Amino acid sequence: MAEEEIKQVLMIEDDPDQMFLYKSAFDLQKIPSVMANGGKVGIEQAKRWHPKVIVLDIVMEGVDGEEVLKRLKADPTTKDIPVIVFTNLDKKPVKEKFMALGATEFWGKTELMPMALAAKVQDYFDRR
Amino acid sequence: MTFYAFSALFNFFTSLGLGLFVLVKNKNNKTSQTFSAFAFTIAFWSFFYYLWQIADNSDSALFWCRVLMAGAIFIPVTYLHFVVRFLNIQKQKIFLILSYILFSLFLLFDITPLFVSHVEPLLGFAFWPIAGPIFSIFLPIWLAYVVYSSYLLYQRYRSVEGLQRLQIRYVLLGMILGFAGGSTNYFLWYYIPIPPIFNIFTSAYVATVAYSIIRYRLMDIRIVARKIFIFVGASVVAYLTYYAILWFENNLLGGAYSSKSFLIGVVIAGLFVTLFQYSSRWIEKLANKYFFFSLYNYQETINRVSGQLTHYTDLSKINDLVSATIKESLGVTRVEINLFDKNSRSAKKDLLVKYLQTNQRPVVLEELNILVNDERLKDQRETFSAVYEQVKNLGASICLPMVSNERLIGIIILGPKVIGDPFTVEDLELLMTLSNQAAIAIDNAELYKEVKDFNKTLKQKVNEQTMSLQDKTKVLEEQAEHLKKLLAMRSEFLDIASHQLKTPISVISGTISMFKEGSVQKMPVETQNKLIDNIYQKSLKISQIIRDILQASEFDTEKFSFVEKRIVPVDLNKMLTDVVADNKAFADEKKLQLIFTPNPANPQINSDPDYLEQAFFNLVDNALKYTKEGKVEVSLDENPQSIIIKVKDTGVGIPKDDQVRMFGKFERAKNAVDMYTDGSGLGLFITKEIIEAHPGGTIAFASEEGKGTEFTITIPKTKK
Repeated sequence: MAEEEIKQVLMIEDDPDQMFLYKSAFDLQKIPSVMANGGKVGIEQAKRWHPKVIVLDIVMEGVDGEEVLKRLKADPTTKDIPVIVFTNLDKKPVKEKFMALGATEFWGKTELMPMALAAKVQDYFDRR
Repeated sequence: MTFYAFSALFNFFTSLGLGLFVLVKNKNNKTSQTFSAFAFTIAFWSFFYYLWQIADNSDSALFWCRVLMAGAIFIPVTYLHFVVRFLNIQKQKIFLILSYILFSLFLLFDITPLFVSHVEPLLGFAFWPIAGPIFSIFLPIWLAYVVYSSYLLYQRYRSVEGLQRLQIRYVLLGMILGFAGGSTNYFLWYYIPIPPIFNIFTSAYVATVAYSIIRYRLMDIRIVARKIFIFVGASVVAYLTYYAILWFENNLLGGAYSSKSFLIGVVIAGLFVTLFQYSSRWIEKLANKYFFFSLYNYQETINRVSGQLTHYTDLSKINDLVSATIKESLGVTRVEINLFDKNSRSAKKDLLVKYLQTNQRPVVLEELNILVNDERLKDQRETFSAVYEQVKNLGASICLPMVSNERLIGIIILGPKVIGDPFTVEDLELLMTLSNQAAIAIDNAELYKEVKDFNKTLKQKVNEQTMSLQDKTKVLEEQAEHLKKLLAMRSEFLDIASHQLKTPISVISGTISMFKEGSVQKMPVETQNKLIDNIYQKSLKISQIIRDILQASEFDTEKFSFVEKRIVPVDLNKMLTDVVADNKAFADEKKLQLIFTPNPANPQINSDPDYLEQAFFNLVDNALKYTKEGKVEVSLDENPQSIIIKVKDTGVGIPKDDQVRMFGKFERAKNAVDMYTDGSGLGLFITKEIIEAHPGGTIAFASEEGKGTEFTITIPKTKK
């Protein structure tokens, strides 16, 4: 019963086209990924799979990114998972807010290209 | 000394005195010169008359007679000369010269017995001259000249008014008296037994001329005359007192040199000095009272008024004071103070004004009259005439300039005196002083008023400004608040806009980057195709978003309104059919029904077709977007006043809380965000602006969450 942890990334995003794009990138790099459609599903998946790193969008239907982050950090089982906030709402005040909430990194989707994101996720896998 | 000797001496002194004074005071004035000549001639005659009277032998008497007659010969011609000069009569020069020659001839005869034949005792006189033959020629000529000269005076007296009239009156009176008196001498020359009792009346002319001088500015030497009067008066007092004391001491105190006299003399001396001072003042007052009443009073008046004037700053008070003072002191019938309006130009052209401005002296009507007639000032006659006429028309006797800082600020107009007397020099001096004081006071008052007004205005303006400052501050604060809101809204808008744009862009740039890396090429074909399709869709999306944003900003600046010439009648059936057709593909995609039933009546509306279509499109598009299943119905109806278009869906509805905000910019209901994160929130805002640009156009909705929404557009029909 050695906890065989599969290193995987959880992406919490609700735009299907974006999901498709980033999934393609992860797949190409052979990074196991779980796509969660929306915040509610995302939190569930996080608790279930304990991913190595979470990539979190902000603007989502229902439970949005901010709420998700708060809940993740409030829950002892998920609070240690590094969270990369990945959004199109990349403004300084927003960044500051999310960093203060406990995000590990904050990136704009027009800044960080899909393959670069994949490489970053790989880093997180390698570090731990 | 006989009475006659005394009368001659008296005549001598008075004539000499008057002649001297007139000459000393006015040596350059031709009138004064001729008058003095006349007076000296009489003095000459009188002096030798005296000598003749006291002569103690017939030879010296005869001699003196001849000498005195030398004087007498020239009396008529000097008289005539004076009259001619005094009355300013022209063209007499030749006649005068001839007269002088004529009388000079008589002078020649005077040396001979043909003129004064001899002297003999007559009627108590030891040595009276008897007429020679030439004398008989001389005498009528003498009389003729005297009468002629007097006639000239009389003629002028009849023809003028006012000052000159009075002057002449007294001169004439005196001359007639004088000559009549003097003529009483001639009776005895012809053995007519009437003694020259009226010889002393020769001096009558002195008195009357003196009076005329004093009262009516004849030759204008009153001040000196007054001094003489006072001096003489005081001397008389001293003289009388001296002899009174002497008599007193001689008869009652045992002589002027007795010890009693010396003692009493001390007291008398003291008394005398005191009394003499009193009496001198009394004499002065007398002099002032009868001839210079005005002077004494005027000094007081001027002092009093000057003091008062400096206290007043009120223009009307100043005017009242000045008018009252002038009326009281001079007894004029009318006082009018005219101030120039600082801006008035017409005043400057006024002839009188110009005249006053140049001369800055009072303009006296009578003086003007004299000036008009004065030969020597012929070239200015026109000016004088014109001014004279103007003054006369004003009904004024005097026009006084009011000068302050060398600037003419007004005119004081005086009517004639109540008693009809002319204005004396003192009068004029008083008036000049008063008018200048008044001018200064008025100038100051106006300045003061200006300052007061200015202060008032300033205060008012400050109040206004302060008030409006307060108001403005409030307005500014409100504006600042509003701006803050706007800025907040704008930054929100920008945030949303940038997010909206970045979303599709991130997909495009992300995908392209993978293409560049060569990653996409390694993916399965379906994946590749999908990615390519994504890029395409996203780029379209960007266009749409940009269009939305631009349109929203179009509605942003002012209240949106249609361009006049783009308004045309719109076929609504056709338009709505087109809109529905445009949205068909979307509806099919979502498996929704989209229905429009054209209205048989096909009502038309005047509108801008492009914008109207846009509005309809937005509504239908919205309805489709926010409906998961069911249908969207479009209807077209009308009533007599308006067109009614409805878009009804079976969608998610709008939550009650959000309904209020729906038409706001970027406002999106929570559940709409859930459904369609890409919505810009501008659609309804734009639609509302378009509909409301129609006169009386409205848009409203009825909605229930979960049940659906119905939008209603109402546009009143208008005549184009």
